[in-house]
Formats: sequence, structure tokens, C-alpha cells
Amino acid sequence: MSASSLNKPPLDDRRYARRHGMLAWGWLGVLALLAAALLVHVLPWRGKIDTDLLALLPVDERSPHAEAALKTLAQQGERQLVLLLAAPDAATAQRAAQQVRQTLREAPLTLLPPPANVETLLGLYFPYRAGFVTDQDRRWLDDADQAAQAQRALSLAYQPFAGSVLNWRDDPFGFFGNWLLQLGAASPARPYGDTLMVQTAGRHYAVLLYQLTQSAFSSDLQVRLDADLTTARNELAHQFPDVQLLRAGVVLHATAAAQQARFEMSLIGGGALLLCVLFTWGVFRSFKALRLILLSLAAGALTALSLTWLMFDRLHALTLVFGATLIGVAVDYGVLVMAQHLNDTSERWLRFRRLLPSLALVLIAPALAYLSLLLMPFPGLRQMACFTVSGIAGAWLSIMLWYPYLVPPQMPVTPLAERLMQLLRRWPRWHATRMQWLVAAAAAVALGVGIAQLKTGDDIRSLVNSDPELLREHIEVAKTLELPSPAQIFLITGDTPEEVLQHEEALLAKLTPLFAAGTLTGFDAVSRWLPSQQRQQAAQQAQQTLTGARAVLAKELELTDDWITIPPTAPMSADEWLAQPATEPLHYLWQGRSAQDGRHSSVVLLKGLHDAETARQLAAFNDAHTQWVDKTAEVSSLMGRYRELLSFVLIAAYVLVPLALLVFFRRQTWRVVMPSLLATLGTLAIMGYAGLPLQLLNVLTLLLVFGMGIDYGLFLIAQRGDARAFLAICVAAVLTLLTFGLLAMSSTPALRTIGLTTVLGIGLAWLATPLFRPHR
Amino acid sequence: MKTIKNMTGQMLLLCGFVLCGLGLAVPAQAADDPALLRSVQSRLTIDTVIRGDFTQSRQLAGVKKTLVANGTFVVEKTRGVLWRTLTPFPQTTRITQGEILQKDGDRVLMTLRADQEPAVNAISRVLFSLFAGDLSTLAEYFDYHGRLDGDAGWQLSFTPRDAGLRAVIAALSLEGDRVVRQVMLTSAAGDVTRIAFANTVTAAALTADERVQFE
Repeated sequence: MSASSLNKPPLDDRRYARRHGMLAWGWLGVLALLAAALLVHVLPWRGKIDTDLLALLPVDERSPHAEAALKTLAQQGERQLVLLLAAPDAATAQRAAQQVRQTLREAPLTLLPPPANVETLLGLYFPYRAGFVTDQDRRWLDDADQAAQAQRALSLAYQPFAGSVLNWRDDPFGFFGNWLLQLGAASPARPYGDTLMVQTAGRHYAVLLYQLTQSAFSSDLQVRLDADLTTARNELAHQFPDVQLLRAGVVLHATAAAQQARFEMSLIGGGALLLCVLFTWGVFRSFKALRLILLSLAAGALTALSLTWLMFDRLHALTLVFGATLIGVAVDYGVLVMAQHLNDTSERWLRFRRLLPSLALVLIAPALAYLSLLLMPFPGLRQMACFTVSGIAGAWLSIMLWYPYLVPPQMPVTPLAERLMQLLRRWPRWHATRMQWLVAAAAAVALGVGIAQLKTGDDIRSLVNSDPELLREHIEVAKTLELPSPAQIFLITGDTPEEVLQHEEALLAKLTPLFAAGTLTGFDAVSRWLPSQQRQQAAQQAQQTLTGARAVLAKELELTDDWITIPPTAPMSADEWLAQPATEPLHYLWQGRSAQDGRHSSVVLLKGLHDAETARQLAAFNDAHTQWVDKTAEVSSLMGRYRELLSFVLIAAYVLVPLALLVFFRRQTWRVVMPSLLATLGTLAIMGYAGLPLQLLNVLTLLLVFGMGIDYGLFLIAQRGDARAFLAICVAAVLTLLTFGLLAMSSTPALRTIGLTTVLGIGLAWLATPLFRPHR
Repeated sequence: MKTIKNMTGQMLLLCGFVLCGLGLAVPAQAADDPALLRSVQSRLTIDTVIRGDFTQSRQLAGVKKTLVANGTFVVEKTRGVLWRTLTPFPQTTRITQGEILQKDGDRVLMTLRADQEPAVNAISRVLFSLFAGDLSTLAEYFDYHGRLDGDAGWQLSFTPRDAGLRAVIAALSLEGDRVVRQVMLTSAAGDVTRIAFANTVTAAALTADERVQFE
């Protein structure tokens, strides 16, 4: 088929029409089936709309150990809700906490039991106490002579204020007491009565730790919890005006995101639909035209929703928001055929056969562009690709199959359509005059300068938004409770639990200078609570040097001789430690044995880690058993790699698609490609001038711009610069600009980026397309 | 600050374990008698500085010998307690808000600091009010009962309200008249400490030497 074959009349209209009729009915049947499937699925699916922004993040390429560790941490965190009540004095904070507990007793929450108290810890560790000596006391043991050793024990014996939970006889040198004391560094929260409290300079915080009864992403839970928390907050403001409620939890962000997504979905979807209907009506003034367009849209939406629901086990809210823009693309096909129809009185099948080749071509480019989203390792984007491609295909098939039946027999040119078509006559055209070459040269320089200024930015953080108030509260909660970073962790592996503990201790020893310098403020690790057996045995060994001093003390204080020697005890093992119910809240740090390779692993979490420089420094501690896992940096670098990859895909598209188009358009091919090429370069240059960094999502959007821009050129050239084709392009572009323009107003930065880039790219492609129309 | 840390969330990792805390402001029980407390408090002479001598005897669980020590003490209303043992060996313990420091001459033997262990705040507060005769502060932490003896004397027994404090102190009793004369402290682990005070005087200000010790 070549451009010259586009006007050949059909050979056997009747046979063709019969076949076409069967297909049209068949398609209606398929849609009915999809609608049925959707109905069956919609009920069980309600409330399963995912609002987790992490779904946009790549499926990772790291080790199964690291993957499992991050997953455990995420699960541990997902269902937690922390409330802090900040008050000027402890008693007020406690009373406020009581009231909030009372208000929330019907909420979908379980109050977590208070953590193990000192008596439980004492019971847990006492039999093994000879093995628990702090580093500082180990160093003291290395230096102290017998007199100093005896003096230390005597001082403690005479000291009435040590506040020790142990009697002197069981811990004469205070080693075990000191070891227990250092466990306190794990958290600043302490139980006061039945409330956990944290005291900082001038502020007292009562801590309420809750666990959600359902997933943080369940919309049912979100609605109930939101209402309960609002009640609690209002009551608190009324009865305790000087108490501040601080909230932190995944569920709060999920609720805010869900509300935002619902709002935007209806605003963008509804707004786009309304604007599109109004504009289309203005251009065609035909009820039948509008009917065909809306039917194709509905078929597209039905296909998209049902296929996506059948193929994915969760539907992401962002898919729906992004999918709302589908309206802008799917409507193009209806617009294209309707515009060609203006003032055309020839027989409908003839018209259809004339349109068929260009219609077939215009599906391919955007579908390919959207399908390239499937290459991305982002589950969210894959879902968007599935949604949009099936939606476009559904709308396109409907136009193709139903057009001959639903098209109005006659459509006069409306004033608005006439004015748009007039525009084409006045639009400049490339004649390759000297003046035009000068303008082109100037434009090339402007583009070059802009593109040269273009920066890249792959920081994932720029794509995420959070409610600023929630973020502020979250930061204060994290600071008050000294919470570690859950996305930047050390993963420790070993062949046995003992090896894991030894590797943890080796790492913590290496980190000591960072703790001392205040670069890091603390850590969470199992080895704090359970030293390796090697270390426990070494501590026991070191205490053997005390025998002389103990003999002196026994004589001086009249103790029996059996007190002098410390009988060796078996060290506490990881299995024994894990079997204790009191250690349960710490088990998330312990990954245990991997089913895949049989190796054991654990995580070391760090506190006070805020800057990228320290994170880079920590990466240097990697060795065979220690792996620094920095999810933030990993995702950012992954984004960068995929931005580069997609840039190559885009360049390849600009080389390969024109080569393929050569078959149809021969020497006119450059006219098809030029508009989208200029639009892409123009968008890049504008971003360069505006200082907007080029991200993965921009490149992704430029692929869509490529698909749609090629369509414009293709349609105009295939219809040989026909004014009606130009009208179609005008309408299609305006509709796209309207829908993506609405998307650019989203509060989600990722969608805003997509919207803005599309508006720039499509706007430029639309302006550039008529420049390259052929001579009639 | 928008970080992935906050996004994921949001994940809140709270360490499950915490050390003992020392209770306060648990509502007073019926056995407590605020009138008794007020009467005792009115018999006590409170001034900015209280100083005197002490004799301390400790009976440690499982240790036959009773450990006897003598020394002097100073309590300053706003700064804290200076506890100077002279025999059997010199040693100083200083209790201030947020810190308990033990010194052997100039050598620091032990420090407990509230910024490392928040419980120290409560412990130092209890000890401070114990020696300063600040009964209302003690009553925040303990249930108490007792009686008035004659025209000037009194006795009070305290038991901790809060499980955290009970893990350290089993019981506390005070006897005195215009000043505290005797303290008995039974630790949760079974060590018993008796402290008798003598030559207690009150003053309006610290001496220069004492002030240096509090620095």
C-alpha cells in the first residue's frame, strides 16, 4: 500500500459489509462479556484500590536477603500507628494519653502491650550474666590491678545510691548492671505506670503505640480511623488545650493519598470529559457524532478497567488518575473520522475504506509508545501501560467497527470548524526560502543552547509528595523516639547465627568513630541485646582475672569461699534468646535462616543518618558479610539507568519508525517525523531554559509525545494536507492539551511532570505539524 | 525534608525494650493521708542549706559483715546533695538534677547521666527530696503511711507506687523531728541501708568550698 493507493474504491462492498457486520456484533459481545466480568469483579474489588506510592518504585535487582530484610521492615512498619501527646508536664501528657486511649477504644486499632520491664530483662539475662560485660568495662578489666579491682567493688558495696536492680553480692563490680544500663540506649521511651513516656528538654511526651487491625491500605479502615482520630483531636483540643497530638504511621499518608487521588480522579476525569464534550460539540454540532465518540470512549474505559482488573491483583489509584487522561487520547480516533466526514456526501463504506489505512496507522504509534511502558521495572507504570493500551485499543476498535453504522449521513461544516480550517490556509509552510532557513538556523541555535543547559535529576524524593503537616508530625515523632532509618540499613549475613552476631559486632566496632563523632547517634541491632557466644566467653574469661580481688573481698566482707570463683556458664545462644517471649518485639531485626541458600542474616539499623555523604561513607564498610543497602540511593540510580535506557529507546524510535514509514510515504516521510522531532527538542530546550531537570518520567512522556506527534504528521500527510485533517489534528491536540493540562495540576509530582511535559510536547507538535504539510 | 525514609514511612521501628522507668503522678491511694504529710512538713525546718554528719550502715544480702561508713553531707535546695564519706575510705557522691557522680578524690569512679538514662532524673529527684525533707515530692512517687510522735517527732514509711521504681527500691522509711534523723532504705534486691544523721544544722548559703564542689 502506498500513499497513492489511499483513494482506491472498494472492490466488493456487500461481501465486505457482511463480514464487517459480524465483527461489529462480535465486538459488542466481547464488550458485554468484559462488562459482566467487571461486574463480577467490582464488588470483591471495592476497597482494594492501592494508594501506596511505593508501588511506583522498581522491582528491585538486589540480593534475596536484602529484599527479604526490607520487606520485613516494611511490614513491621506498615501496620504501626504512633501517637505522641506532647505537654509541658508529664502528668498532663499522661492524662491526655488516657483520654485519647478512651476515645480510640472502638477504633480499628490494638494498643501494643508495654515493652518488657527491667524485671523481665533481669529474669532473662541473669543466668548468663558472667558473659555480659560492656566494652568499657572490658577495657577497664584489661588495665586494672588487683587493688583497683577490689577498691571498685568496695566502693560499690558502700555506695547506697547506685540505684542498682541487683544486690551487691551478685554483681560486686557492677559489670552486669552497666551492661543492662547500656540497653537503655536503644530507646528514649520509658514506662511510667502503664504509659510509655519520653522526656526531652522542657517537653513531656506520652507515647501510644498502636497496631492496625487491617492493612494500612484498606479504605474501610482508613475512613473509620480518620473519623476516630479527628474526634480524638477535637476532644483533646477542647479538654487539653496545651497538649499537642503528633501522629505517625503509613496509614495516615495512605489515607491522605487516597483522599487526594479520589478527588483528583473525579476532578481530572470529570473535567476532561466535560471539556472534551463541550469542545467536540462546538466543532461538530452533531448529536450522532458525539454519540459515536462517547460510545468509543465508554468502550475504551470498559476495556481498560476490566482488562486491568483481570490482569493485576491490585488497582493503583495513580493508574486511575493517569487513566483519566486516556479520554484525551481515545477521543482522537472519533475526532479523526468525524473531521474527515465533514461536507463529504460519498457513500459511507467508500468513506470508511478511504480512511482505513490512515486509521490503522494512527493506532500503531501511540500504542507502541504506551507499550514501551511495559519495559519499565515499575509495577505502577506497567499497570498504567496495560490500562492505557487496552483503553486506546478498545476505543479504536469501536470506531473501526461501528463507524459505518453509527456515522451520521451528512455533516455540514460548523462555524468553529470552518474557522479552524481557515487557520490552516494562513499557517506558514516550509518552502525552504532563504528567510525560512535563517529562521530555522536561529531556532536551531536556540534549541541547542537550551538543550545544552538541560540537567538530569534522578532523585526519587522529588517525585514523592506528602502532606506537609503529616510530614512535620512524622519528623517530630521520629526525632523524639529516635527512630532509625528503615530504608538505609546494613544487612549482615553468616553461615550460622553465631557468625551473624560476630559480623554485627565487627561492624559496630568499625562504626564506633562515627558514633563518637556524633555523625551517627545510635543503632538497633540484635547484638546489643545478645552478644555473640564468642564475646560472652571472652567476657567470662576476662572475669577470671578477678579471682585475686574476690578473695580479698571475701576475707574483708566475710563472704564464704564459694563466692570467690565464678563457675563457667554456657553462653546464651541465639535460639534461646529468640525463644523468649520478651524478645519478640526485636525479632524484626533478625532475619534468620534463608530458605534459598541456608545462610542466616540480620539487619543493623542506624539512627541520626541524614546526609548522603555519610551514606556514601557507610557503603565503604561493605565486605563479604556486610552489605550496605541504601534504598533511596538505589532507586535513584535505577531511575537514572532507566532514564538512559529510555533515552536510547526514544532515539531508536526516531530512527526506526521513519525507516518503516518510508515504505508508505517515500520522500514525504520527513514531513511526518519533523513535527514530533521539533516538539521533542523544543520541550527539552524549554526544560533546559526553565531549569527543570530531565527525569525518567519526562523521557517516558516524550515517548508518548513521539507517538501522538507522529500521528498528527501522519494523518495530515496521508490526507495530503487536507484542511479537514488539520481540523482533526486541532481538535485532537486541544483535547489532549485540556486533559494533560488538568493532569499538570495534580498534587502528585509524578503526574504533574507527566502532564507538564505532555502539554509542552503536544502543544509544540500541534503548532509544528502544519508547517510541513505538502503542496496540494 | 522529603525523603524516602518518611515515605516508606512511615515505617516506625520502635525498639520493644526499655529499661525501668520511675513512676510519677500515679493517683494517690486512699491510705495516703495528706494531712499527716502537711503536719510532718510543718515540723521540719527547711532552709536553703542543710548540713551535718552521717553514719551509714549497710547490710548486704548474702554478706555477713555490716558495712559502716561515716562522713558529712550538704543539701542545697536548688543544686542537690553532696555526700562525703570519710571512713573507711574517702569518697564523694554528688547528686544533682540529671546526674549522679561518684568520685574518689579527683578521680571519677562513676557517672550516671539523665541524657543517657532518663531514669536518672527520677532517681536523683527521689534522693534529693529524701535528704532535703521534701515530702511532697516523695509523695508523688510513693504511697506512705506514718504517725506523729509527741510534740516534735514523726515517722513515715514509703512504698513505691510504680513497678519501675519498685524494681530498685522495696521500701523507704524516715524518722525525725525538725530535721530528718534517720533513713532506712531497703533495695529491691534485699540490701538494707540505714543512715543516721547527727549535728544537722541549717544555713542560708553554701560555703565557698561547697560551691566549688557543686560546680
